[in-house]
Amino acid sequence: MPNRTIGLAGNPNCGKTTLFNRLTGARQVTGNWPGVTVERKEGQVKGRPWTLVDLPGIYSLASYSPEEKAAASFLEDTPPDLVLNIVDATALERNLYLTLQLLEKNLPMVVAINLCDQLAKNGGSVDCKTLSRRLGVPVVPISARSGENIGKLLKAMEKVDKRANAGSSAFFTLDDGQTQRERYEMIRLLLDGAYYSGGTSADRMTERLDDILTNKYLAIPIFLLVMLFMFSAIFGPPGMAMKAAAEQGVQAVSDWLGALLNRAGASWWAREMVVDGIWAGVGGMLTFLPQMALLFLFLSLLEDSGYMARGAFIMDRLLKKAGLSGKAFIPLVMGFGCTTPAALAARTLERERERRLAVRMLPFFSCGAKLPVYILFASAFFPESRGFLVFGLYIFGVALGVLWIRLTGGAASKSQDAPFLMELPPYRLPTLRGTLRHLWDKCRGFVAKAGTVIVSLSALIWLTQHLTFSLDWTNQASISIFGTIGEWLAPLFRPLGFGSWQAAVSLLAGIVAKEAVVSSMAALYAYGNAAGLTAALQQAFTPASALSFLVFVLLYMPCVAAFATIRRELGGWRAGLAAMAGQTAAAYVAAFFVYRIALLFWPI
Amino acid sequence: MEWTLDQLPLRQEAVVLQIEEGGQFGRRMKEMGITEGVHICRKRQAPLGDPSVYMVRGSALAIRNTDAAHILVRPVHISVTGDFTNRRGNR
Repeated sequence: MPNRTIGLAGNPNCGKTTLFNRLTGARQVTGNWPGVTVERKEGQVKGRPWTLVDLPGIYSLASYSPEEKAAASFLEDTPPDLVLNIVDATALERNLYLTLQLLEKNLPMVVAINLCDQLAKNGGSVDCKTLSRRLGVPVVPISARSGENIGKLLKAMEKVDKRANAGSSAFFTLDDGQTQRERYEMIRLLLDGAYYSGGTSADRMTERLDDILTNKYLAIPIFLLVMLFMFSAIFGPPGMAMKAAAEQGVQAVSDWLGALLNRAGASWWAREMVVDGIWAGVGGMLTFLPQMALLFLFLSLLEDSGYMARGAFIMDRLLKKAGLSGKAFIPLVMGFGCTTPAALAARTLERERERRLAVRMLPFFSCGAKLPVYILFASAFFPESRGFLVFGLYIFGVALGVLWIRLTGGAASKSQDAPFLMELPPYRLPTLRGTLRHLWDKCRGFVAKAGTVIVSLSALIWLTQHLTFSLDWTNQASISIFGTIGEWLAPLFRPLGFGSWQAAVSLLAGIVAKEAVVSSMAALYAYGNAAGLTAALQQAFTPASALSFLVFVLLYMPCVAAFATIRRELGGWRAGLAAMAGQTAAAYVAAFFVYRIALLFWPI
Repeated sequence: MEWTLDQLPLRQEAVVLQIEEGGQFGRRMKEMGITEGVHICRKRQAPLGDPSVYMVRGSALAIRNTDAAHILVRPVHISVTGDFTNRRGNR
């Protein structure tokens, strides 16, 4: 029998991912749906010649959101051999809305009712036989979480697949011109006498937790504590210790690689390119991995437990003005740590438009690697108001980010936007299995996708740092292609007050990693003498040009790793490069004005 | 008595009379189960006042006040908690 395609469809939060993982195990391939940056997953069902395609979690097939469009066009253009519709027993009425729409597609179908155990706990019940008769398709009660009745579900799917006839119901006639109200009327008739939801609409546990976690006075402090905990675990001592360990590992591999190439008799330039160029770039990315993994772990726990939706509910009011919703709070806060994982955290935003908005706004949230630059300059030029200045830079970045998104039309199309409608799912204990699976997928995705861009970019940058335009080898930064470009760029920065080639080269190096700004400056201004750097900077910069430089560093394009991720999340080179160019232009304009205004206070 | 949904006091149950705006907005609301005649209850309000959580057809939906203002409701004065699905059901 040839390979069959099965489409897995269901509402968000109904256990679809859990079922998908249970059916396919480790045999999964991820990608994007054509034309949209909505993740597409497919996998082979264990022990069957079936390819399971995970449709985006949707409430309806009306093609408004990119998720719905992707699902609808999949069902239209490449109709699967079978549709597996998973529904949540505790909110059956709403879940069956999508079921009716799926039935209208006239494809062979099986309905899996998930969370029947939870329904029973709520004191409810569902009569699958009656429901099956009325819907005209097999209905199987399952628990995706414990694996109960999965065998039965597979058998039902097999049977339908063999008959391969579309579902037809004697109970009602389907007509896709129906209004939403008519569909819900029909659902009431379908469920009449066959479903009892247990009297309380949400379980008692959820009620009690929500009384505390969304409490008028407690909600915000608790939320901020959760954020603080996450942030300090990732970017504080635990994350930093893990990062240091990863750095040691990368260094060890670097030494080993050097020795290996030495023994293999590789030419010195090849060795240097591999070790100092490519591996340095890849290793730089790998040192982020532990922190990324920690972030993904927290995000996965927040999402699966149901707390993420509460956080979004609490914070929505603050973010509404920027055209975002409450859910964007977490990625944006993570942006203060590191833009790269934050851009990936933006994946938790369901709406594509909002996700893109958040990703474009992120680089304005000053990342942790820029802090050393601020501290260096603030101590050299404004020792008294150091803390105030650094804090001010952070605020300035956020404010400009909001302004930037407004100016570039991000928040404009408000009226055409879907209303903010978010379901608060019942709280559920995350499973170890699901969490680890999620963690693995995310880390693998990050390394694979960001990796390719980073390898080529680091090789390119390394080459330009070591070759002159006449393609001679050099170890002197100033005469390399990189340094020469820096010199060409230097006059551009003159209106900003820092037109030296050293400053330009440092900024260029900052594109590799923001950490490189300070180390380049140390090399170029103080010849590696870190202690002399402050004095050298005081010679080279004025207070006004120092301020202007800081603003530029705050705002100009993020590092290669962040760029690679942003490019990926925005769905292409064009959008990625446009975001970077816009960002750098904004940095230029802001630094220019800051310099001119600062000159009034500190005339040279 | 008619109110808009955002004027509904907390824990007050009501019947949806009309969704004032058509287009994508109205459609989306209806797809999520907020159709004419359905029972809805304002369950919680976010600490900053917006949005609020409404229970409808067994699920909890967060809706912003500006969006809720387009939904006309009539309060129901019997205070029965929770499930509206089966009140009409003949069990």
